[in-house]
Order: sequence, then structure tokens, then C-alpha cells
Amino acid sequence: MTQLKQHISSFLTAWIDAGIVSTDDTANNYKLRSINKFCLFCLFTSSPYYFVFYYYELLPPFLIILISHIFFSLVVLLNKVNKYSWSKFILILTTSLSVVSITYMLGFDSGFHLYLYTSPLFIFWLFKLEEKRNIFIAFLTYVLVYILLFYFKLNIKPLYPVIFKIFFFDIYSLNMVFNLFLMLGLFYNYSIYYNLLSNNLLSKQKKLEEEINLRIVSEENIKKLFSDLSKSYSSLESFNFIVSHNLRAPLSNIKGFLDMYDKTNQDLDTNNELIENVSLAADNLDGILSDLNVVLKSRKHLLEGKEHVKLKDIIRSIKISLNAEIEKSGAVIEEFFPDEFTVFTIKTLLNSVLFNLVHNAIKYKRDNLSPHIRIISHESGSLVTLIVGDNGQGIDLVKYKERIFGLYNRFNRNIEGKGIGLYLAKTNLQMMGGDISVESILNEGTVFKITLNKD
Amino acid sequence: MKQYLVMMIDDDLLTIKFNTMVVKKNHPEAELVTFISAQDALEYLQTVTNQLPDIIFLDLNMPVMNGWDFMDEFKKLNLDIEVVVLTSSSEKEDIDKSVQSYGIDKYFVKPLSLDAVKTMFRSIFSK
Repeated sequence: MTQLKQHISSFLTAWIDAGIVSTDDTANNYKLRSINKFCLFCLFTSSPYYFVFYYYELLPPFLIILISHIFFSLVVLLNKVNKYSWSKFILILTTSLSVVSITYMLGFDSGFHLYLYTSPLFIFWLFKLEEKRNIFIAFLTYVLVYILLFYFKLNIKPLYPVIFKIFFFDIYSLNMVFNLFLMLGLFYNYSIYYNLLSNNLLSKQKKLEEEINLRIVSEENIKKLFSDLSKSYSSLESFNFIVSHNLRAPLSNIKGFLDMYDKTNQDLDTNNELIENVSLAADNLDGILSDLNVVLKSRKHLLEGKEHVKLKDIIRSIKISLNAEIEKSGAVIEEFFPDEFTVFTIKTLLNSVLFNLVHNAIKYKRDNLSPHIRIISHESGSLVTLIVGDNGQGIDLVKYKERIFGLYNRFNRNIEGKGIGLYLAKTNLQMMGGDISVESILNEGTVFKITLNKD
Repeated sequence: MKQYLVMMIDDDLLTIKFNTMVVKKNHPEAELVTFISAQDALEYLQTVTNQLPDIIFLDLNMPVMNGWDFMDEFKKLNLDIEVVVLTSSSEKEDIDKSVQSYGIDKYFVKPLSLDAVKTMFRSIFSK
């Protein structure tokens, strides 16, 4: 019983709230609700008067039913704010058509009885249509009612004629007035609703456009972040590989030598050799660990924030650090960039990259030729390019291009070095969103090109 | 003159020392000639006048001249010596390259345990 009450009240609320799309516009909403209430009243009170149309043969019976259904459908159509109103609307329309066609074929009595009998069911199900199951059941109900009507069509008799004939005159004129108001109200209601809807749509469209723009920007950010992340990840992965790879070799050497050790063997020479080798392997391990420590320490600098750094300051500090080497080799460092040229970067990292490049240029100089190093800056679009060129030995890039930036890859046995500097330069620059590349001609010189994002 | 002359090219001195000790102890019939640089090994092959090695153990990842560079030069010498790869790289790329491009069918991945090294040498010397 309470459920039925709920259904009735929700039916009424839905009807009264028809056409209300915004909760902000209270004055307008009040107007809309008043009109809806009046229409509702008209529709309910005017329904019985359709009999009169019929009994005085003012309209064909199927048209009478059709009109009442059109009103009903219109109200539901106006109630489109409700999520499922379209399905309700279609349901009403199809059933209306069925009722009208039955009235047309079998006569008013059958059609109108069908209308009367099914209306409560119809209203009952109308507000529970959120579930597909209910739509199905509603349809089944109709089908059942139709079948029954066809079966009993001969036994159905008009129910109301006598009562309404008595009040004929008053009721007829009243009905005309009511219906007029009803139609006007519904149309007015619809026009307000339409305006509200289109305004709403316009502002929604604007909002959507803004949102789309925002999303495009954030998508670009995400893409950039993703590419940075994947670079960091691949760098981390290769670092992981390097660590496990390089540590395994000396460790397995130690294990191998220890396995070879035979307690029962009194051959002192062999045992001494074994011990010596174990200690050599341990030294090796120690060296690798301290190298990895250097790599990790430099990674830590990635956490430092980027800042605007004067290139001139960096080069000056490098010159101070390499003072002895520069004097000894007679190196000349030429600067081809404006005094005020700044780079937005992590200072420590750019410093170490440039330090390595300048140091390499001095280390791998040609015999009997003083190093001549040029540092050039170049800006284009969102990129800053720094070029470090020398007149040194050069690198055979046909052979070494792929390996030049790898860890522990060395190309000259005669000069001391570990093969860490360029590896660090490449990986650190990549993690900052930049990169480094190399061009070189043997016995002519080498040019390293660093690219960085402007911001 | 020993029955076998084995050439070993590896930039990791400890690997060479380890393998040398194993060979000395278990295969007195074999003699080792070792190089920590592929260039030196190549020079040796170019100038050697007496006994040529019967087999070459080759590392791939070496500075300056790596295993592939060595193989390119070695092929030019047209010597009939079997090459065995003994490397720390287990990359499929390297394995495919050694088989397809250089016809090397013995590929060992370092580091090998003592037993594995023993087995490796045994399989090679027992032929």
C-alpha cells in the first residue's frame, strides 16, 4: 500500500516537475510548476468529458482516445529531465497507438475499456521503468489485456453513458475551457523548457570546450611525463643490468678460485696463486662498487631542482678545476656564446657533463698538437643546443658509434680512464629530458652536441 | 710441442687466469696463449710462424676492438681455426649473430662455475 502511495506521489512529482532543468532558477521553476499543476488538474478532470464527445458524436471515437493520449505523451515528453523518460515516452506512444487502433477496429467500447483497465497498470509501471524487466512486464500486461479484450469483446458494455448525459450542458462547455488551458499550458511550458534546455546546452558546450582544451594540455603533459618516465625507466633498467652484470663477473671469479682450492693439496705455488687471484678479484669488485657509487651519486643530483645557470659560470669553474691539465697541455678553450647566456637545468649535472667533455678533449688530444676546444651555444624553438668541439684524436664512429655512450666502454688503451664519463653524460641528460650525440673524424677531432629543453 | 694450442682472448684478466689454472691442472696436454686485447691477438695470428692455435676462445665485449671486429679481421686471414665464444652477453642478438654471421656454433655465457669450465674444456679437448 505504501508502495502504491509512493508510486502515485512520484508520478505526480514527475508531472509537476516536468520541464524543470535547472535547480538555480527558483522563480522560473515556480512558474513552471504552477502551470504543470494546472495542466495535471485539467487532464484529470477533463478525461471524463471525452465521453461526451463520443455520445454526442462530435468526434470519431478513436480520435477522442488519440487526443487524450497525445496529452499524456506530451507531459511525459516534457518530463525529459528524468533519465528514462525516452523509454517511457516510447512506451506510451506505442500503447496509445495500439489502443487507438483497437478502438478504431472494435469500436469505442472495447478501446475505452482497454484504456481504463490498463491505465492504472500503465502508471504503476511507468515509474519503475529503471529496470528493463519492468518494461518487459508492462508489455506483457498489455498483450494479456488485448487478448482478453478480443476474447470478451462482445460482452463489454458501455459503463457511463447515463450519468454524463444528465450534466451534459455544463460539462461540455467546461471541458472546452479546460482543454484550451491544458493545451496552452503545455505549449507554454514546452517553450520555456526548450529555452532553458538550449541555454543549458550552450553553457554546457562552452564548458565542454574549455574542458577539452584543458585535457589536450594535460594530455600533452602526460605524454611528456610518460616519455620522461620511460626514459628514466629504461635508463634504470640498463643500470640494473649493468650492476648485476658487472658484479657477477668478479664474484663468480672469487667463487671459482675458491672452488679450485684444494685443502689436501700441499702445492704452495698453486695455493698462493689462488689467494692472489682472489684478492685481485676482490679489488676488482671494490673498484666496480666504487664506480657504481659514482653513478648513483650523480643520479642523486637529478632530485635537485632545475635553475637558470649561466653557461659562462660553468665553464669558468671547469677551467679552474682543470687548471693543471690545461696548462700542461697548452689547451685553448674558446667560448662562442653570449656572456649572459643561461640554461635552465640541474647545475651539478650540466657541470659534470661539460667537465667530462672538456676533460676528454684534453686527454685524447693528438700528439704534438695543443688541444683547441670550442664551446658553442645555439637556440632554436624550445631547444637549447650546446656544442663542445675539439681537434683531438677523434673516434672511429663506424666501429664505436653504438658503444661510445656505454658503461666501461673504452676505445683507447693507452690513456687512463674507466669508461664512465660519457655513460653518465648520456643517461643524466636523458633523465633531464635532453640528449647528447657525437660526430667525429679520426685525426681531425670530435664534436659533442648536447640538447636541452628550454624550460 | 703440446698436443693442443689454445688461444684465449678476454679483456678480463681474472677470467684468463682462472681458465689458465683449470687447463693447467686438468689438461696437461694443452697449452694456452692468452691476450687481453683482441688487437694483440690478431697481430699474433698475423705474424706467427710456428704452431697455429687449434682453437680460439673469444670474448665479445672488449674495449677498442671487440669480438665482432676481431672476427671480421680474423676471417680475412683465412685460417682454419675453430672459434668458441665465451662472453658475458646472453643477448639473443649476439647469439644469433655469432651463429648466423660467423658460423660459430659454440657459445658459452660467463660467468661459468668451476664445474662448468671443466666440462667446457673437457668437451673441447676430448674431440
